[in-house]
Amino acid sequence: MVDAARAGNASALSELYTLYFPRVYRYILARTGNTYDAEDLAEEVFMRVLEAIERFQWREAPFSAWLFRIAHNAVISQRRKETARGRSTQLSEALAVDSQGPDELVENRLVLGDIREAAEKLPEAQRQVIALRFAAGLSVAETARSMGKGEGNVKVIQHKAIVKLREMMGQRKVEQVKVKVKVYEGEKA
Amino acid sequence: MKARRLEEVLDECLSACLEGRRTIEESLSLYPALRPDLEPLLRTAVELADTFSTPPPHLIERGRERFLESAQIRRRARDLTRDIPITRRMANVWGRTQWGLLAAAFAAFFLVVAFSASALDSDSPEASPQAQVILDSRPAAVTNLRQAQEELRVQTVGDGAVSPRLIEELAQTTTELHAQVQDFADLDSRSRVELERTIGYQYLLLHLVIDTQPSTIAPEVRDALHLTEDLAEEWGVELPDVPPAVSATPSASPSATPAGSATPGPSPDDTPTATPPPSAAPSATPGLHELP
Repeated sequence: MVDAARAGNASALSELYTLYFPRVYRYILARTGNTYDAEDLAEEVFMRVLEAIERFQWREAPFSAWLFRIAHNAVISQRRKETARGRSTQLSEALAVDSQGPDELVENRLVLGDIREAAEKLPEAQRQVIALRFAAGLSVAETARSMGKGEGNVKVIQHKAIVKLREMMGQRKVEQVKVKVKVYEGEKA
Repeated sequence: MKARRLEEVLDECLSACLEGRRTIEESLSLYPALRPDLEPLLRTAVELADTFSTPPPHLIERGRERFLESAQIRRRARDLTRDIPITRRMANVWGRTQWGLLAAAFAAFFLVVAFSASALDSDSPEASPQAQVILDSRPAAVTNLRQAQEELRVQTVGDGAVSPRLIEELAQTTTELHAQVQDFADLDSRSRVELERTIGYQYLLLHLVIDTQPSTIAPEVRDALHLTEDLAEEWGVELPDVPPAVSATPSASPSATPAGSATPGPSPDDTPTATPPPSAAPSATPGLHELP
């Protein structure tokens, strides 16, 4: 399919898009926490793919690794632009997805907001592994190739990232419970 | 050692859960000794993976249309230059730059049109009566013009000279199209975009003819170009930028006009916007705007 797409075959290009667009979108959503950025950047990534696919070579990396390197560069480039403009991502924008009902939307926003906030405190390599493994659905081997690291190394990073996320999320839940208890106590008094 | 094993087992269980091969419980039952450490991590990771929503179907579909449209534009831009003999196309760096600029101009032009098409489509899904007229008459008008353009393109990039008859046919088909479209603004967005694209393509193609063909066909090319420009102006179509190397008018280059030619001579106003480098060798059949 990739070879046919390189030759400009429209049906292969369409198949490639169908297969990878949702994964690229989820990856960018995980990195930016913003559905609007995810929409724009995912489309931009595929435009870059069109420009570069003729130069893609199997012997250098699997297609998925090559594709997510482009996606990673797009995210970095977007972040630089935002820094220059002084804009920061709004967590409330993170889950404006049409298919969700209002309750689900609010709950999902909170969860994603919490996770994103927690993930932002992780080192870059751990954030990258989380996005590639859990949002893009890449295997450890693909993640390793995309990041230019060994598979063993990726497993270590993944483990550390999950442990840290769990700690941070657990801490947040404890704080939320404390706030609820205070509110309850205030109401009783 | 235990940490190392936990990393391996965590990844093995995660992959199984994410790929739907096993549930969390099934995975935990396989490693009872690691359960206390494994369970919270596994649950956190699976919860995390479920958090990221997939894009809505309409977004995927819209993106795919744009993606395939861009792929088609790129292919057309490439096709435009594919038949040009390699000796002419790649004569030197100047030549490569020139063709690169032309291809880029095509790509940029069609990208702009493609994006404006999708924007306009969302406004007016219904076709107006006039739009129906142009869509129904496409075989007679637009298709004929496209055929004429393709014939011209093939001759332009081939080894032989372009026949003046072909340019005249192109002009005539353009006039027919003009006559069929009563009011461009009344057309639906799809038809407008199609016509904009066709006229923009023709404009660039005629500049390509100017660049690569002998000056003997200058009057016909000039007429066709003026016709195209007039039509674009009347319809309010923004014509694509022509790269400097291919932006000269038919009678542009004094050095390109053969001595004793019956074609009109250059006027002072027709100075080309770009001149070939001094190293460009004179050709036996000088073009209107020579490729180096």
